[in-house]
Amino acid sequence: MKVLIVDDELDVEQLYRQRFRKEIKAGELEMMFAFSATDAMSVLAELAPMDIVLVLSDINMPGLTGFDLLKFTKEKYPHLNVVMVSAYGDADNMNRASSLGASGFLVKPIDFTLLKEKIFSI
Amino acid sequence: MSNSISFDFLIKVLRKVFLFQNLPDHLVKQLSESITTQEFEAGKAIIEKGDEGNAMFVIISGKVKIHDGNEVVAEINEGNFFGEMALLDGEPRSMSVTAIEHTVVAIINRNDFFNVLNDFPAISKNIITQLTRHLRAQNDVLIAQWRSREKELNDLVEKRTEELANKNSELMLVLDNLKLSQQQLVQQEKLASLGQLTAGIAHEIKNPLNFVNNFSQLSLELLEEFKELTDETERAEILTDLKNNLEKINNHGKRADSIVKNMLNHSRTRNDDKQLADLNKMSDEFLHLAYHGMFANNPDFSCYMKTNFAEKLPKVNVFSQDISRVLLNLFNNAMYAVNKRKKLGVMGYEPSVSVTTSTVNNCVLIEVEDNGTGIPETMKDKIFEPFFTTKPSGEGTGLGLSLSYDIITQSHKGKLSVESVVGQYTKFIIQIPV
Repeated sequence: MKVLIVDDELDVEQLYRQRFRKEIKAGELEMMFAFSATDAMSVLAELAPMDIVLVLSDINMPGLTGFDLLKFTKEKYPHLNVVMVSAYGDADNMNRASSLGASGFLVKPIDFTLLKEKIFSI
Repeated sequence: MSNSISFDFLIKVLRKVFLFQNLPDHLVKQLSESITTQEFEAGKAIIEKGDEGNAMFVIISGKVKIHDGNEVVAEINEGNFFGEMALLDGEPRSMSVTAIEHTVVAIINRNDFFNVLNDFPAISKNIITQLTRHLRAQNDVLIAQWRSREKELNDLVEKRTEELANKNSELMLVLDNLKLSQQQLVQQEKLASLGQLTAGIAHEIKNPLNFVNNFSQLSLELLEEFKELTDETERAEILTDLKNNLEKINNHGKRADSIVKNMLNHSRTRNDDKQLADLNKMSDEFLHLAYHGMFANNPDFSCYMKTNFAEKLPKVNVFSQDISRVLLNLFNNAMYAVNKRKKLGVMGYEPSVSVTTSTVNNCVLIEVEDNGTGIPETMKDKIFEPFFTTKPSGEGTGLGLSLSYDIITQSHKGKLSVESVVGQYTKFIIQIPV
């Protein structure tokens, strides 16, 4: 199972890799990282075969936002699950995410137990 | 001579005149024969200042005033004479003479007067005495006038001085009020920008705190795991992770600390000392604070942020909270401008705000550039004026750039300038001497 994590904070990579250490080690999960929406778009475009099952994206990023990425992903790869992450869990953001086709919305700080469930329920 | 006045009467009058007191009878007669008389109604001018002086006058009846404009030098009545001075020196009349009441004068013209003088030089003494009297009288009048003017002038000076002192204390009061208002406005502006920042700050603190929490929690779990493990390679791996995590915790803790410090710095009343500051670090932090502040108030907002920091930028002695306000203000403006342009909805527009630092001629330069709406040429002169704002009412205080300008040019002896092309870009350049 392959997941793409998109966040402008570089340290999320080390954090996620440790949080999912066991799963990664056991070969149950593979993680890729992109540090901007534009990066994520090129990662997705270069992937063949498209074996990614989930994109986990921060909303508030410099340049293109998580919403831009969500729109782009849903248009180009409608089968991909996109879960949005934000420090702001207000109704506006949540409604917007779901209307653009997000399959979930997580508020920071991330509850990793919940995230794990979400990933493995796919 | 005039018909209305008898010859004998005229002789009588002339005899009474001081000038002709000791003139022999035949000369008085001779003079009387050549004399003409003239009548003047009250208010009529007998002599005008500046006239040619070709006769002198003896008052037969009535009263006249000798004056220069409104300035009356003397009033004289019958038996007195006037106009002899111009006759003697041939200069134009130096005073005017006007009848105060119905007046009859005897006119002695120049030739007749000089004939008498030739025939009887003794009257020269009378003339001199008379002239001296006139001059003394005139002198006294002038001195009195001068004294009264001097007094008037002194009184006026005293009055004006008092008025000025009053005005001065009024102005001092106004100035005090202004200073107070200014302080309040500055405080208001600080609070306004702080309010705008709050969301950005919350976000900027929350992010590192999340990392601190996550990495410390992970480390605890790693420690538990470490206790169970026996394999040395695995244990070494965990130790490396632990070390990394502790470094992350430390970094993010410092990051949060620095943000809180900046925030406190920003709102605190200024302390009097300049401190050495790393302007790269400050620019970076406030760029992100401004970004998150904008985003929190405006969920659609986003822009690219580019930083080009000079590697060996010297530290500069600055009032750091003041400089942070300038930076924040410039970043906020830049982001406001790119957002405004983005809202025009032109395809392919990529909002971008960049900050570049460099050292030029012993000055540190901070350039804040945006590709927003731009500033029209006609507004460039006004943007640094207090209360000038293009934002809708209630959104801007109009003080941001004017305060920034004062901070850079006055407290730091630097320069703040702007370059802009409408629809293309705006660049503010801060220049601070090292």
